[in-house]
Amino acid sequence: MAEMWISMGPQHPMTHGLWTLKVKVDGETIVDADPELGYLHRSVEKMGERRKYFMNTTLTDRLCYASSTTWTHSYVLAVEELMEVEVPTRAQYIRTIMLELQRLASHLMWAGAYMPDLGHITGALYFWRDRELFLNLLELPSGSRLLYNFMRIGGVKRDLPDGFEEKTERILKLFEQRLDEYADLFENSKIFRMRTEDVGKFTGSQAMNMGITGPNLRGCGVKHDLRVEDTYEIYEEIDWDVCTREAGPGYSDCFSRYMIRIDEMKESVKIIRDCFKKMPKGPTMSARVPIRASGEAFRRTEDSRGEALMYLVGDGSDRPYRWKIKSPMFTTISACPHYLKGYKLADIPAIMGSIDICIGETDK
Amino acid sequence: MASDRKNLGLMDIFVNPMKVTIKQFFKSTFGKPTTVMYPLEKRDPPPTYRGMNAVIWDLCIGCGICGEVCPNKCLKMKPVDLSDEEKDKSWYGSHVAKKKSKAERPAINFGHCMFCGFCEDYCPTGAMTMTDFYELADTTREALIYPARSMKVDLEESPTLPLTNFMMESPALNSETCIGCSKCVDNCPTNCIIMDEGAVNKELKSGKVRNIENPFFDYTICIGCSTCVKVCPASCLHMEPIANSSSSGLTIPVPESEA
Repeated sequence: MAEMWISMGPQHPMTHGLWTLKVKVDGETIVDADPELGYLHRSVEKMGERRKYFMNTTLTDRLCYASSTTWTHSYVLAVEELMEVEVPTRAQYIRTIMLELQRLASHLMWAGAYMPDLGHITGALYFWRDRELFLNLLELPSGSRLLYNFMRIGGVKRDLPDGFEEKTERILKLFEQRLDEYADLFENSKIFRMRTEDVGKFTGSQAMNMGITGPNLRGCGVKHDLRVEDTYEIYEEIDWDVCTREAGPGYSDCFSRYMIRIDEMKESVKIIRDCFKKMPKGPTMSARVPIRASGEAFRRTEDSRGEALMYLVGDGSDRPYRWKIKSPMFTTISACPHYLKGYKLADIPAIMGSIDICIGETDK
Repeated sequence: MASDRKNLGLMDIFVNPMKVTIKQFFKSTFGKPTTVMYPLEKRDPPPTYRGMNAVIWDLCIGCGICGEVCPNKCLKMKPVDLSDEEKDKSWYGSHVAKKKSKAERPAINFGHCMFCGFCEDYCPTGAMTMTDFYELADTTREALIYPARSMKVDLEESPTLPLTNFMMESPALNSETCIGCSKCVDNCPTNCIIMDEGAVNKELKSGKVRNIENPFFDYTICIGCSTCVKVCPASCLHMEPIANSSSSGLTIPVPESEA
């Protein structure tokens, strides 16, 4: 049978954002793929070069709507390195709590979007019901539900409000019960397992060669987490483990990539609890934050989707001279021909959904 | 199938998911609804909510920092006429004694505003606040431009907060080029500048040598708004980070958190 190209996107239920996946099929089998990106390009880097350093946190919030705090945080870390600002310890703890709450919300957002990809609409309702809990928590200190703009250069916007710890603890307890429900509903569901097991396989070494990072890499059994490898904030002092999963010896499939995110949510709950236990009192903002900077800074953090990288060059003015964002999803989507080949056309939503696409950060 | 994965039994396939679903069924059928009947009943935003702006005019000194830090440049300072009552009340603290009938107050185009909250954060007097009002939708674009007076709020007692320099910069003078016009003194929103005998004597055309008065800054109440830099006709002022501004000879105060 003749081979042919099928264009999926930019408007397609599989895409999660605006991008096109062209696949070459031989009958039902994928023989080649060609991702096309750039529909959502907003020129964030160039816009940032026209704005002052502190104003850019509004832009980084909009890089990824599902995980805005983590992106703002990696930008803020880069600027702090550039300006040589010391952050008070309490601010670091508050940042870590916000980051992990955001990670929970982001993974729940992903899981809720992944289930309809597999034809499991009910799944979306269950996960998004619980995401709401964390959005409510994130709203309390920051004052907004989606674009928090909470991180500041040199600290955080404000201290945690009264009763935040109790509210968080209540929600975490509820969430732990919900995690058991997920195990019953999805993890042990025959249909879910049939759709995801042994689909979209790639090995750990392949993933490293292709530049895949984050949960997708840890799903291959590679113990690599920037929170440990290139540690920042107070992750060193917190009691937690890097979790890994694998489908078989050294490779991952869609199911192991689902499970690694569930494990990460459990770790995040642990981190938040430990942060509250160890959090000291004190200021939440550095006393001196310059608004001009020169030199260059380079910072990478563990975003909910992988390695978020920020590179900044300052020329002594109050705006960055050059700002470069490296998104984890850009490399992961670009590598899709490697892990799509050989599977059936109907597996594409299951595979592309399982890597947690966010086009906002990919196209910048 | 990977070895660490559980083999599914009958309980996993039929009974356990059913338990969860039935539990949720009873919860959502007989429990409290999760949704809010929006126009009739409204969600309670937290006290930190970033909604429509409101300006406490009694505290506002018209420095324009809110417009400066606005990333979308949707906030502009507009001249307004103050009533007599406002004139008496509207100046901040005892050290700001200027009483003018005209002042500048922020006006916002909410069509461009993204509610980032920087204007509230960087306001040196705490006059700019964000309310929990979020129903700002309107039928025309022009209706979204809120004039300065529409955002005025009055408090029964205006709290007097310390002036804070959030900009972390203050002006520094190059006395060589200063022409002693005292425009900076007229325009300073906090009255932190005085004119005094300068370092340079200039020879006039008539042959007389005259001293040029130079501005001196009180950095304890300077808020770093850079208004003086903008109005300077001779470009003899520039902004420097707080730690380096010592050209006027005044000592720089140590922030409270360090003392």
